[in-house]
Amino acid sequence: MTVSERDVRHVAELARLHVEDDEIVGLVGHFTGIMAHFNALARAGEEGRLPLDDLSPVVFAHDEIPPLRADEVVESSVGRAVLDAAPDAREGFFVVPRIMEGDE
Amino acid sequence: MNAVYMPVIGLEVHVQLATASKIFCSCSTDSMGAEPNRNVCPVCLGLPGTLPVMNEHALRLGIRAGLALSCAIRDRTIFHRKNYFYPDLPKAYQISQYDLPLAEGGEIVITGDDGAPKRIRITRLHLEEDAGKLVHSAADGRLEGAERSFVDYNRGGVPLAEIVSEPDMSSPREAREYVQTLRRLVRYLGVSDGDMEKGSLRVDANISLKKVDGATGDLLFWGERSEVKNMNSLRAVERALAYEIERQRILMERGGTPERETRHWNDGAGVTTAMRSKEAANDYRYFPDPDLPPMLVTEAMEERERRALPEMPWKKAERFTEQYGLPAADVEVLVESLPLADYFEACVAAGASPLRASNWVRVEVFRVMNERKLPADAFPVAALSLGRLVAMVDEKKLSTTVAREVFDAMAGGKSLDEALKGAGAAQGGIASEALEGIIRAVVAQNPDVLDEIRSGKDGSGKKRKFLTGLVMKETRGQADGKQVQAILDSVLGELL
Repeated sequence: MTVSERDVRHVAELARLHVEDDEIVGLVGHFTGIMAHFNALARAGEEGRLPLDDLSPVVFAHDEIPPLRADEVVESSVGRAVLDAAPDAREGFFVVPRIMEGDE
Repeated sequence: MNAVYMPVIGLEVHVQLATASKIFCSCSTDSMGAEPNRNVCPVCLGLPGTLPVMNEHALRLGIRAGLALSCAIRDRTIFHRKNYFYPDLPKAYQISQYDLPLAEGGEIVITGDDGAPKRIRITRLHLEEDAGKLVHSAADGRLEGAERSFVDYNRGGVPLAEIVSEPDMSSPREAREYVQTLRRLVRYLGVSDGDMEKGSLRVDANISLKKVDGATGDLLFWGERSEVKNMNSLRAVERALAYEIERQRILMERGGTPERETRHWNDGAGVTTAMRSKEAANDYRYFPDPDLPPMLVTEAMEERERRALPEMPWKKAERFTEQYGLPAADVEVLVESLPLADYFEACVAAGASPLRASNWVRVEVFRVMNERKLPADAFPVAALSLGRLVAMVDEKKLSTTVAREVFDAMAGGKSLDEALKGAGAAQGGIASEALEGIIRAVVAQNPDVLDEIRSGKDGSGKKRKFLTGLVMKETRGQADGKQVQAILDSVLGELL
């Protein structure tokens, strides 16, 4: 798979990252390298080297039931501290630039 | 050619699970009236270095709902990150499920438009965390400001089950019926309070129109679907879909093609409006959340939830029809809420006849519940007491009028015995000697009427009825009408 400048700009937009035009070429190079690595991983299951194709995300590394939490309320007082550290807060709310309903 | 437009509707319903704490942290889920950003902690605020841990009860409720919808429960299920950049998500991703949801392939049966049972297939049920709430302005003006939005994360991390149907509904009415059936089910299961106004049950609809040749039934054209959001009541679901069907139909009739878009229902204006579409926004870049191990649903867990299932509302409806011989309309009302259905059955168990008990519950109990905004399980009159009261009416020991007075006194906090005494009614009704005394007094007080009867002017029996009415009034309706007639006849017989 080849990575284009358009791909890089698309990913940057999704991540809400501002990328200068002169940075794009370098990033295309990075992306291409990363994709090459994934291609290598994808080939690892071939020729009987590793049974990766049989692995799914639901395979457990250990044969143990994952921890679950009892449904009990524990209060945290961190909200106040986080509000104090926020760039803008008012009346207990975090304040952000106006976003209209439906601007997703 | 006569073209017919057929709506195709699928629904996504978000149900807030009835847990005390959030899905991945120990913050309270009860934010009614709480100050903003009170129920937050490092985990649901997405602070670095924190790890989510699954709430066992949320998982159990999800399993229970899945089983009740006849879904297959996946024994190993995983969570994905759904990435999008919006201030309602402090982490910039929502923990949700993607290709391996907790439950899949179920069904629910509704009454279709033709009156016959209709199967609506359930695609999947998955668990996810809710997002925070954005406030754009407050009614009291305190938060006014065109340049700013206000964010409250109390709701962020509250557990949701998203239940997705196949596009099996063909009308706004069927969609409403589906939501109503689902709401009743989650309430029966104790999975959610299902309150649409509070936002504990939210509905998004996918709707498209098929253009079909009216004569041959051939499919001529199938428009793109729109997704309608922000329907906050059953009525809004029905109205929004009816509007959207009209909008798409008119568009297609004018030669246009509906676009795939998200539309916002504006309840006040009664219209849907397009939300600004951004292709990029739909690229959620799902990937498995590395912070959460796969969830293991053991057979024991599944079995425990299966045993926790109550009698399903549709089964209860069948049973009420057969066992109690109630009309369909009565059954519909009684099974709508589990506490109410239980209350009715307890009345019957206490000796009331089913039909009269049903009438009392649907009329008197509902009236007091509505007046005082009470849920059925907090009703002040014990079902046993109402059952005994109704039984007295059945046995004609009490008239309906007096029974209502007794009921109101019980609703005011009195016991059945106190209320009976207060209404001047002894439990055995009125002794016939006492009744005879009253009748003699009534006749003595109305010599003119007696004269008219004597002179044979009462061929139609009106005068007798008049006297009976006076007696009933005197006994405040406690006397049995037939008994009054019999005694009156014998008293008059002596005097004539």
